[in-house]
Amino acid sequence: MTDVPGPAAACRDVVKTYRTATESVPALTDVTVDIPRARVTCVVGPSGSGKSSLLRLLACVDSPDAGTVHVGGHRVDDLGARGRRRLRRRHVSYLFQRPGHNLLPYLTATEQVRLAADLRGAHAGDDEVAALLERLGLGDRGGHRPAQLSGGEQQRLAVACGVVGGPALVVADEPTAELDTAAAVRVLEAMEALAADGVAFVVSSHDPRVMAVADGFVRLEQGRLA
Amino acid sequence: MTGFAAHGVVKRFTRGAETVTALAGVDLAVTGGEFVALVGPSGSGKSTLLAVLCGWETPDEGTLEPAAAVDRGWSDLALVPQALGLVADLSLLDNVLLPARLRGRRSTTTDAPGDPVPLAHRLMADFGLEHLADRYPHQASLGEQQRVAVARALVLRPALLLADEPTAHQDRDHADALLDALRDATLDGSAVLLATHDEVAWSRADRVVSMRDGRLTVGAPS
Repeated sequence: MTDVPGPAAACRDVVKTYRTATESVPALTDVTVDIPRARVTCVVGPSGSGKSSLLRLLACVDSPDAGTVHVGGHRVDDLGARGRRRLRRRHVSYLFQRPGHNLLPYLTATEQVRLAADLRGAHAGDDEVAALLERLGLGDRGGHRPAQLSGGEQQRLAVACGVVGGPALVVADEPTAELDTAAAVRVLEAMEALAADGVAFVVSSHDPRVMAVADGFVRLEQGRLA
Repeated sequence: MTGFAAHGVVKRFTRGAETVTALAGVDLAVTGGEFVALVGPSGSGKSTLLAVLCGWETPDEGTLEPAAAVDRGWSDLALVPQALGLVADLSLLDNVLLPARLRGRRSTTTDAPGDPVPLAHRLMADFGLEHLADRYPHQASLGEQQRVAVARALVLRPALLLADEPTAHQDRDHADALLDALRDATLDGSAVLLATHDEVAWSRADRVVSMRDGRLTVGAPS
């Protein structure tokens, strides 16, 4: 993991407002949260409460209108798009809800993990990749491409790509929403085990299965901490 | 003779209680240096055939030569999928060079045809992308992204190139540039199979084969 003291990520007094031609929509108001390392933190709240906005800030996709955001010890809120992209590549991984969106269709599982490490500026050797795939129950799937994997296997492969190279933070947006219970449980078991090894997950979800493995919660209502 | 052959390939999918036969006994051989256009209406099985040939799908019956091994590198088999599959965090130039990057990371590197960087730049210039080299996929149009995906497929001069509608988002000039580059690859020995609705592409191909209801016939549809 990124070797810095303190939480994996932190927001202080964050404000985010989306503006259209005719109106301003406050998405987050005075939100202060710490995302601890080695934990699964679940962001919960009704639709429109600001969960996705908070995840976008933590994933360095977006910047706040006010307040500060730190990820892996680095200040993010004052960076431009290029700086955020550079920092995101090194320190953050993002898991989309739809398993296939996390993977490249033409790469084998082994190649996906190697590329993810490479993009993070790390090197993942054959043994490390094999061990990680084995740990995620994909030990016999290294040569398979996404179309040859089930949805659950694809999402576990996405988790492998998400954690390889030791990012400071893994951001996951409803990662089990498209999985059946058996597949979801295996993904969550993997996340739980990896968190115990030091990975920081922050997950938005309405799924009680996700909430059951969470170590902590961030509750949002109308863009404010509830 | 490099290239590939499919013999009696059958592929069925189950949709609920219904079984759909997407490929109903397909025979097709494409030799190195040959440019073949695969045509047919939407849903006729073209994309399924490409998926079987590249190993994404396993045929229920039939054989492939070479076998659709799961771990072929980009210099053996290059793809232009309809979904393109660009890496969001890489610049367009780095996306073109992705196969070289992966080859460098492969544990068993076989053939290594020289430095791919000059060819990557040349392909980007030929495709009108040279001024976009440092941009990222989200900063490019769909047509530009598609041209990047074709350049990516060509950069290692693959033995076999499978492309699914690679000119679908292009104007005529850019489509012609892509077809020229694919033709150039065949001159270097690549076997190229192009699934396409583009009738200009049909006229540029050495052969046209038509897919309808999972069956293949020689020539363009009447």
